[in-house]
Formats: sequence, structure tokens, C-alpha cells
Amino acid sequence: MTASDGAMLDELLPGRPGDAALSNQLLSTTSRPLTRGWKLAFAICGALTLLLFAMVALTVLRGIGMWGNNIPVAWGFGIINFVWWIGIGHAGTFISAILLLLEQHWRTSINRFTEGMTLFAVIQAGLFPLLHLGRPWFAYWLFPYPSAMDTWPQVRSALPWDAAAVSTYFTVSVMFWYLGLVPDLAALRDRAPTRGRRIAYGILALGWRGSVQQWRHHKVAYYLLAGLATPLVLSVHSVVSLDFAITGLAGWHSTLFPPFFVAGAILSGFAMVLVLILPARRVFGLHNAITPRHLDAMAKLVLITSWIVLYSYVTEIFVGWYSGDRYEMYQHLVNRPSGWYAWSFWLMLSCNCLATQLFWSRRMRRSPTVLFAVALLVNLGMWLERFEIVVVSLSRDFLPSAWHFFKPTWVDLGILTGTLGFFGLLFLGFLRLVPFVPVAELKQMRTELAHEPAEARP
Amino acid sequence: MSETRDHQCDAPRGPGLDRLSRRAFFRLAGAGAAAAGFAACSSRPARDILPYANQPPEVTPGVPLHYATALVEDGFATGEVVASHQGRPTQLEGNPDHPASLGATRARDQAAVLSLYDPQRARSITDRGVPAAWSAIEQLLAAARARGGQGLQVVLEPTSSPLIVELIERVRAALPAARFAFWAPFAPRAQLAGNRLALGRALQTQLDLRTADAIVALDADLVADHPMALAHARQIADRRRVVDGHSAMSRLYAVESGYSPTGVIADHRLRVRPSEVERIAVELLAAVTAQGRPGARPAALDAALAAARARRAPDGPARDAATIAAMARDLGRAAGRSVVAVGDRQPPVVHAIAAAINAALGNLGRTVWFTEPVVYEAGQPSHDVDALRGEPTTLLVLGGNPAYAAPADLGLADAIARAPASLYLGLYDNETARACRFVVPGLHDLEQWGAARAHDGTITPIQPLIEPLFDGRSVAAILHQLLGDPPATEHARTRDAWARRLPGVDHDAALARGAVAGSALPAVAVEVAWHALAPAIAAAGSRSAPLELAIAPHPFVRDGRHTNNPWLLELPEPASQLTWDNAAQLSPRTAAGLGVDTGDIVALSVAAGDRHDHTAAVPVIIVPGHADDAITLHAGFGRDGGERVARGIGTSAFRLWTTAGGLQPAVTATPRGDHRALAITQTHRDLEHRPIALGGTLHQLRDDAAFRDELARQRSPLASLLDPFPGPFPALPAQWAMSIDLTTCTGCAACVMACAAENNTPVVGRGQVLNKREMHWLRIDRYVEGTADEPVAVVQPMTCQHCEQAPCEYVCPVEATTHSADGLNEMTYNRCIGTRFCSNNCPYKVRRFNWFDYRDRSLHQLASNPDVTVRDRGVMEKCTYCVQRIRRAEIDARIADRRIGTHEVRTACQAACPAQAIAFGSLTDPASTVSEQRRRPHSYAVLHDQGTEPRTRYLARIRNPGEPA
Repeated sequence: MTASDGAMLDELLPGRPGDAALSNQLLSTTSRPLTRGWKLAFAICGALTLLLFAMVALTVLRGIGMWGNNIPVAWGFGIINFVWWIGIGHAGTFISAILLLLEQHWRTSINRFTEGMTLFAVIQAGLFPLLHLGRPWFAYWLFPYPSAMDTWPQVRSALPWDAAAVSTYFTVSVMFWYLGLVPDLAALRDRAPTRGRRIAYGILALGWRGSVQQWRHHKVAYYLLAGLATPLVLSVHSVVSLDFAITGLAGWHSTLFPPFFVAGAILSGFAMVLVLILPARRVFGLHNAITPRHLDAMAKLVLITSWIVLYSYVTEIFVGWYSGDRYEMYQHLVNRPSGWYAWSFWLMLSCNCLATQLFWSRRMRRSPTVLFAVALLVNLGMWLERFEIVVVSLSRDFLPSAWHFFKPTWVDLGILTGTLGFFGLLFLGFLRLVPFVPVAELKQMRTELAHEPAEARP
Repeated sequence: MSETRDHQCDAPRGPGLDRLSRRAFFRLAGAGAAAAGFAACSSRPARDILPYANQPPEVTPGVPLHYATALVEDGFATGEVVASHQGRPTQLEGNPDHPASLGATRARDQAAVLSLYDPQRARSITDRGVPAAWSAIEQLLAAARARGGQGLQVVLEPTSSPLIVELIERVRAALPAARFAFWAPFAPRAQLAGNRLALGRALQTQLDLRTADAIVALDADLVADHPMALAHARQIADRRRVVDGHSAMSRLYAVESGYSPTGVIADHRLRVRPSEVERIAVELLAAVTAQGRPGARPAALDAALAAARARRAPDGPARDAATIAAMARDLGRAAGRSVVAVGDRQPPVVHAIAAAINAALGNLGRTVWFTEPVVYEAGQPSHDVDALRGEPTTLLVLGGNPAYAAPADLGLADAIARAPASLYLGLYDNETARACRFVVPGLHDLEQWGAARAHDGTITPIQPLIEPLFDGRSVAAILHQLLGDPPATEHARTRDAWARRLPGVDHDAALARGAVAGSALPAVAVEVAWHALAPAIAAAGSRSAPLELAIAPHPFVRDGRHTNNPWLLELPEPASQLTWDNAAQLSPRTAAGLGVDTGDIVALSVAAGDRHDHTAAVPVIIVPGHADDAITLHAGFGRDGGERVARGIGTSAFRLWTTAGGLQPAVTATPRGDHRALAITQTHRDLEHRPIALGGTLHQLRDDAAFRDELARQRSPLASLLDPFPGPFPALPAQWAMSIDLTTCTGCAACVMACAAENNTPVVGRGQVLNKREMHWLRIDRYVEGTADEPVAVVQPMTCQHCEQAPCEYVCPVEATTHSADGLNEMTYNRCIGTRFCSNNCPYKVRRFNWFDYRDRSLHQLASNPDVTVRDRGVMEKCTYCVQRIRRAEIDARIADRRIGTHEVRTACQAACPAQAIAFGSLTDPASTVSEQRRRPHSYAVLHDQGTEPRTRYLARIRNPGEPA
């Protein structure tokens, strides 16, 4: 054990609790009595979920007209919410897979948490491509299935690729998450207080016994899936960005979009992780598992991606001007900064690029309050960025005769709030039913950092 | 005729269940299973549709028959050809053989089929709202007859029908005490009075613009608001078709306060308050008569002109003087080939002056002539407001809606209600119907037999397309009943009366053609009565007010007669693009002076000094190009009758109409401080320096190489990485294309309505229009160019451009929008899942989305075109180039084993266009108009820089302004 590993371990796992202590602390979250706070949160989220289902039912029964969309702004909150949620869903896999491959040890205590967030965010996102269709009951036409009519999706359009990318991402994320969960489910099975729970966790644990053979297979599969998930992190939002980039619309028509979207997704994803983890850490008293070192690392990533996003904004505006194209110039130099929705442009810049500059300060990076506030702002800003792209670009395109304002309806707002509630509901369930800090991995990290000879590591 | 019967939903009649045999049980069980299968198909119609038992020989299901008939408005007939699908009239097109149509239609003509099937039409005879029998009407009329017509007043709409005139004369002979009145609020009265002033007789002015090189329209909307508007639009356009810079073009001056379609195509437009037209007419008369034509300036005139000028306020702006001088110069140069026309809301003296100017220019007998009025007793007291007064004991109102559409100070609704016995015959339970005791359902024009004259006098037969839907009665039937002489059938009555009144004119031949050729009224020889005219001229030009109101008929709903027609309510009003409302149109400067913006409500008030309230609260709408210090308010709104669509929409302009103030009174406007959202289809009118609606002058097209180069740049090939559209075109199939001439397009919106009627595009309502969800496949974009002081409106019909490199096609994930081999951008509704990606990527934003289930399941659906699919909720739709017409022509050509004729396929918009500004045809046919127009130097593609290679091209808007005088 080297001094640096020891120091890192002290930072990541203060007090170096033993295996039993870790198990006791982290597995107990599933069996503690329900608190009033949790019940209240669950009730609120449940109510919002019902609101979401009601709004969805209304939309499907009556039509997309229940939303504020119009011609020219044929895409509105539906697509904004889709891109926003899918962006949030990026941080999980980024933290789990990419940081795992890069052997960033600090990821270990938060990866389960972020993977859960990813899944639940992708579930929210997945609602929208379905829901925004005029005839959602035909959504399966987006997939290449052998139909009697011999018709296939049109592969020049980005949307079939989008459907494929999102569903692949969701599948791999589920597998990755579940695979990591298996040892902990087995631990829960072994400690289950009731027979019912033991059977349920036993089934979910897939017969895990913790043998060396099983551990070996587990590790291989886990790394393989991490390797598979890594390109997906980059591809899914790149493909989502093509929904815009393949068009000719000023404000959408840009080769910058794939990396720009990925950076924005990671920024919003990390912000959402912070929004969720800070309260959880406080409520469950996990200051030893989620330490200032973790917060510091995430704040730095927020700062970096915020700069990438700012760079993209500047590049977009510059290219708009440099193209000499009158429509691009109008979009970037007139419409966005000074049009109907100028407030959203400036608010977006303030949230995504100005507020994050606080993180140049180490003190701010380690202050939960500041982190939480800035993370909320970044989530708002990233939503506005998608609003900027979708609504503001469409509201004034080529023929001034067609220009028109977009105003959301109460159904739009209901669906947005409803997905927040549904997301929260799933998350609260997740917090109750499985250990959200990976116990086995944490123990493993402690063991590795404590005992592994330094020269054996790359 | 296709027959339908209600589904038999009774329980099967048969043995009771207790005595059910095995065989009967299985029969019933089988029937039950079959019924369950039907119940599962819930989208099926609730009625069985049965085939013909005996098919009429002339009917082929799926192939419409066409019949010539006419629509009549204020007594003037416009010939139509109506398509009938198995006995169901579905669409009107103009009758090319009719002088008032020449094959084109007005928007409101197109919408007539919807009014025919209006579920809110009056359906049964009522006595104060309670269903009554025809015998009650017989008694009422018999009682009136028994009194010899004493106390009987009959109010009719103005009529030119020889058959009705015969009946009126018979009633007058039989019941000499009966009084007749003829009423329509916007019937031309001033023209007849003006001609009486100038020529000594109440004559009707006729125009022939085919040879007119210079036209001055004084508050005259020649191409949109005139019984001969369709013919005028065609004649003016024919003189303004620009082939290249060397084409000859007429010169059109418009002097007006509102921005009319005539103003849109004018070379020079002078925006003035309505009262200023008098002064301009006087100045024009002075300038024209000063040109030294022999005998053109009698001495009496000099004194009158001097008097008029002396009394007048200081001169108008120098701009006006220069324009008047230019007008006079151009009129003088084109003496004998020029026209001065006056709109009917101008006072008689302006009409008289115009007659004098035309006479002085030697236009009479060439471009202008006079006939006896075609409307019965037009210009006589029975057409005056005073004819409506009186306290009759029996009042028969046979059509029209005088309780609503009359000067408010008459208090007609109360007067009608006071009549001891009253009867209303009409299509709706409207304001007049509600004031009368008995209501008898009337007949729609498409349900009745009759005849009428066109504005030029041409006799036009009217035949029904369908049996009366709601047991309606004709005006003639009531008059016959009044005479105690009920006719056998409507057809027999019409045939017999025709034979009596029009001997020697074959009724059947006239019906087949839709007009009696050569039956136009002869010109009357006239002489200008200068001495009678001079005092009127001397007094002219004294009318003036700080703020003037012009009460104008709405271009579509007119005086309120069509306000229950949702097609017309949703059709954007040309000047303001307002739907579902009326509003006070005014100029930006006037609005700024009042401190109001579009949508702010002002209280308009006309001082009258009677006991009636002449105040109307209306929202303001700013129309660039409107005259300053003037307001135009369209009539036809603020309806208060039983029509559920019309009721409660807008405000009635007739409340501001007094017998003293007339239709152009002085008015005061007070902002009320509240606001109403207006459903305007276009909110941004600046072109933003984009290559969209291009234009220039004829001079530029001839001499300015830079201008021609700029136009050429907007059509020449762009550098592209993509393969070009496959070409050269194969000989077959055809390659369809469209060409739209912005020079002749007036923005009258007839094409928009024709498109909606042809393609079953739904009505979405005010709320949806407010959120920009209107469904018209074709729209008229209206931009404003020029300076703040002299704004110039540019109109541009915009619809699917059928791009060869269509941006919508490659983004559709399910290939629901694709390209056909003959160059159409096609929509496959069944395949569309409604991602709306195609609309986002359409630079022209011409795609329309079914946000809700917009289908109309009322009786209205009978007006649907059976050749066009009615689209489901959640599906994208757009202009198809009327693909159903193309395929029909292909089928016809294949059956006859020939090629499709060059001009065989006509799209609905093209057929309706009075100016023939839309051309359609194949690019593979070098003789087609589109091929020829594409070769013109001012042909261009909108947003050419997007590389979409649209099949629809435009001819730039070319004007022919004169050099400053």
C-alpha cells in the first residue's frame, strides 16, 4: 500500500470501516422503518405520477393538440423533455462505465446511484418519442420488423436510429445496473428479515453464492458491459442530436451538434446526480461513503463540461455568422439574443456558463449548499438550452409569414411536472428496495486500495 | 341518387325464446355472432349504404355530373357549374360561358355548398317558434288577399328574375294596395343616383376593361367587390400579363381608404379618407377637361369647378396633386381606351363626375356604357330606405335580413315585431325571423328553379341540384299563394313562366349552357347634362370629418348572409388576414394617434341624435396602407339570431349606420382599455430582405440588367453535392409543375376557398387559428414593402412547392411522404404516424397537421369531395397538386387511348382564380403554360438558396408605374 492510495482511501472512505460495518450501514437502508419524510415525498411523487398518467391519457385520447405545438413550432415540450431527460440519463453510464474503465476509484460509492438515475431518466425520456406522435399506437413502425407489407423504416431519417439508440442504451444500462446489483441482492437475501423478502431477493440474486468462480465471471461480464456501454454514452446523444442536425433549419443545421449534445448531456447528468445525491447523503447519513472528495470531483466535471458547452455556444454563433447564410445569421445574431424568447437565451447562458464558474473555488466545490443550488440552475439551464434549440429555432424560420409564437398549455406543464414526479417515485422506490451504494464494490475498493501493491497497478 | 336507410336495430321478430326451436336458436346465435363482428368495427358508418336498384343511365358511381346554374346576390347572377356526385352537389366552379364568371368563382361562391348542408338552417314552418302547418300560412295569405292588399307590405331582396317580376306585377294588379319594398344593404344605389344626376336617367354603368389602357378606380374594388368582379379581374389581368420587359401593360390607379385587392394590383395607390375621393374626382375632372379635347369643357363646368375649389379646405398633400396630374395625363393619353370607375359607397356626385370624365375622354360606347338597371325597379323609391318604413298589418319578408342589415335608426326589428301578422321566408332563424310571427324555411340557390340576370343583363337560368333538404318554399311559391293560385310544381311554374316571359328562348338549351347568349341589355345613348351636374360639382368636396368610418361588406360573409358558414369565417380576410371576427381596420399612424395596438378595443360612436344607440365596441387591427384618419369596419358580424355559428362573433357595423350618416359617417373612437386576441393567420409582414416575394417595374425588367440577373440567380442551378433530379424528363409520365403570377394575383382568396372545398380541409375554429393551427393547404402570404408612409402590400399564394429535392421526404422515419415518378411530393396518410419532422424541415411551412380529430360529422360532411380522403387525427397533410384530378385525367386519357391534353388537368385553385394567375401543367410538354412561363425572365423559385428545386415557380410581381408627372 502506497501513501497516495492510503490518502485516497481516507478521502473516499473516511475511517475505513470494516466489511461488516459497511454491510450493516449500507444494506440497512432497505429495512429501516419508513420515515414520515419518505412517506411524504412518496405521496407527492405518487400524486404527480397520477397527474402524468392523466395527462398522457388526455393526450392519447384527444390528440397532440392538447399541447401548445403549432405550425411552425411542430415540436415543443415533448421533444425538449425527451432530450433533457435523455441527457440526464447520461451521467450514470458515464460514471459507471467510463470511470470504471479509467479506474477512477471515487466513482464506486456513487455509481449505483447514478445508474439508477440513468434508468429512471431514460424511462421518462422514452415516454416522449411515443407520446409526441400523432398516432402513438403505430410507434412500432419506427423499428425494422418484418411486416407483411414489406415496409421498413426510412433509414435516411434520424428517427429510426434514434429509436434504436435509445432502446439499446436503455437495455444495456439495465443489464449493467442489474449485473452490478447481483452481489448486493445476494447480501440482502442473506440478511432478509422476512421470508417473503428472502424469496424475492433470492430470485433476484440469481443464485449468487459469492464463489471465486462467480466473482471472476462477474468481473469479466461487468467490464465487458462497461466496454459496451461506453460507446453508447457517446452514441445515444449524438444520434439524438441528429434529429436536429440532419435538417436544413437554421439553428439545427450544424455539424457541431453531436459533441455539443454529449457535453451538454454530461453536464446536465452530473448536475442531476448532485441534485439527487446531496439530499440522500444528508438523509441517510452517508458522509463517510460520499465524501467531499466525491463532491469535488463532480463539481470539477460540471465546470469542465460547462466550458465545453460554452465553447459550443460560441462556436455555434460564430459559425452562424461566418457562414454568411442570412437565415443562420438571423437565427444566431438576432432571433436568439433579441427575439421573442431572448430571456430564455440569456437565462440559459447564466445558468449553464456563469453560475458554474463558482467551482473555480475549492471551497465552493465542497459546499453542499452551493453545489445543490448550482446543480439546480444547471438543470434549468439545460432544459432552456433544448427550448432554445427546439422552440426558438422553429418559431422563426425561413418565411416570415409563417413565424409564430409557441406557448405551452397546462397539459405541457402537467406532463413535465408529472415526469419529475414519476422519476422521483421510481427513485424513492429504488432507495428503499436496493442498496444504492454498491456494498460489494465498496468493500472491494477498500481492499484493493488498502492491500494492492502499487507496482502491480497500471 | 344514392339511397340510405336507417340500420334495422329492432330485435328479430320471431318465435318467443320459450318456444325456440333448435334451428331458430342457431339462426339467432349466428346472427348474434355476426352482429358482434359488426359492433367491433366501430368506425363503420351507422347506416347501410345500398347500391342502386335501378341505376339511372346517366350516372356512373364515382363520376360526378355537372350542371349549370347560378348564384344570385342582390339580384345579380353569377353562373356556376356544379359537380354532383350521385345527386349530391359537392363543388362549384365558374361557368366559362357566363359573362359574370368566365369560369372563375368567388370565395363565397365556393362556400355555397356548405351553406346548403348547414344543419342549422330553418327546418320547419313555425308560428312564434312552435311548429305550424302550411295551412296557417295559407290562411294568413288568404286574409291579406281578402283585404285587397290593404296594409300588406312585401319586402323582397332586389331581384332581376323575369319570373319573379311577372309575379310581382300580377300581385300588384290583383292587390293594388299592397306595398313592395326591395332591400339589400349593399345593393348599388349611389351609382344609379349619380347617373341620374349626370345623364338624367337612373342607368347602370357597365365596364369593359379588355381594352382599357388606363384605369382609375375611385374607392372602387373592381376585382373583388362588384357584381362583375370576376370578369373585371380577368380583363384587367389579361392586360397585365408580362412575358418580358417589352410586354404591354395597362396602368391601374387605385384611390381608396381600405387596402382592397384592386389596390394590391394597382401600379399607383393613393390612400385617402373616403370623403377625399370627392375632391380628387373634382380635380381629376378639372384636369381631364383642361386637356383641350374638343367640346369637352362646357362653360358651366368652369364656374362649378371654381366654386368647388374655392370652398374646399386648403389643398391636400402635394403627393395627391402629383398623382392626380399623372392620372389625368394617362387617362388623356388613353382617351377612348380608359376607364374611371367609382365604388358604390361613394356619394352620387362622384359617380356623376366619373360619368362626365368618361364622356369627356370619349370612353362612352367603348370601355364604358350604360344600360337600364337589370334589377327590377332599381333606382326607384321601392329600393329606398323609406320603403321599409310604415306600419303594415300584414308584413311578408321574403328573404334578406332587414331587421339586422338596415340603418339602425329605423328600428326595424321593433317595427317588424309590431306588425299584427308577419311572415319571414328565409334560410335561417335569423334576426328578422325572430321578429316575425311565422317563419317558413326558404330555398338555397342550389335547391330552386328560377332565373336571374347577370349585371350586364344576360339571362341566367337557375336549376336545382337537389330536392329541398328542409321542406323549403320559394319566394315564387309564397307570391303564388298570395294570389290564391298555387302552381303545380316548381319546375312547371318555372317552365311556364319562362315560356311566357321569354318567348322564343329555349329553356332546356339555356339550362344546358347556363346563360342565354346575346341577352345582355343594350347600351342606352346618353348625353351628359352639364347644367344639371354643375351645381352638384360646385357643392362637392365639402364633406369632411376628423375621423371617418367606412362600413363595408365583408368580402366573404357580405352583409351577414353567410356568417353561419364556417368555411368563410375561417378564410383570412385579405387585407388583415383576420378570421372569425371583424375589427376596425386603421393605419399605423391613426392607431398611434389613438394610442391603441392590434386587438385593443375602441368604442366607435356615430352621432345621430335619435333614441338608438350608435356605438360599437370593436377591436382594432392595424393594416399598413390603410388611409390615415379613417376606419374600415366590415359588416356581417355581431349577429343576434338563431344561427349558432354566427351568433356572438364580432360586432355589428350596422349599429353605426344611420340614414343621415350613411355608410361612410363621421365617427369618434375612444379606447376602452380592454383587449381581445384576434385570430390573425400572419403576424409578421416584413420580408427581412429574403428572396421570397420578388418584384420590380416593367421598366426595370426591360432595361435593368442587374434586376434581371438577380431574378435569374433565383432560378439557376445551385452547386450541389447531390445528384440532380432524374432528367431529362422521360416522355411519360408527365412532370407536373405550377406557376403563379404575382403580377396579376389580387389576393382575393378564391383559390384558398376552392382548395378547401376540393380537398376537404377541415375548419378548426378561432381558438385553433389563434394557435396557428389553421388547416388551409393554400394560404395567401401578405408582406409589406415600401416606406412607412407609402406601404405597399405584396401578396403571395403559398402552398406545397413540390420540391424536387424535398426536405420533408428524407426526414420521415416511415416513408409516409415520398416522391412520385411524375414529380409530386406525395403524402401517404395511412403510413403517417405524425412525428411532424417533415413540417419542421419544410422551409415553406406549408404542411398541416391534424392536431385533433377535426372531422365534421354533421350534415356538413355531405359537402365533402368523395375523391379526396378525409384525414384522421394525428396525420400530416398538405397540397397534393390536386392529385385526384391528375389521376382522373390519366384514367380518362387511358380509356380514350390518348395522351393527357396540355391544359386538361386544372387544379382547384387554378380553376377558381379569376385573374388566371395560377398555371398548371407538365414540364414535359413544351406547349404547356408552365413550360412557357418558366422561360420568362422573371420566373423564379422562392427560397431558391435552399436548394429545394421547387416545382412551383413564381413570376415576379411586375408593376407599371408612370414617370412622375
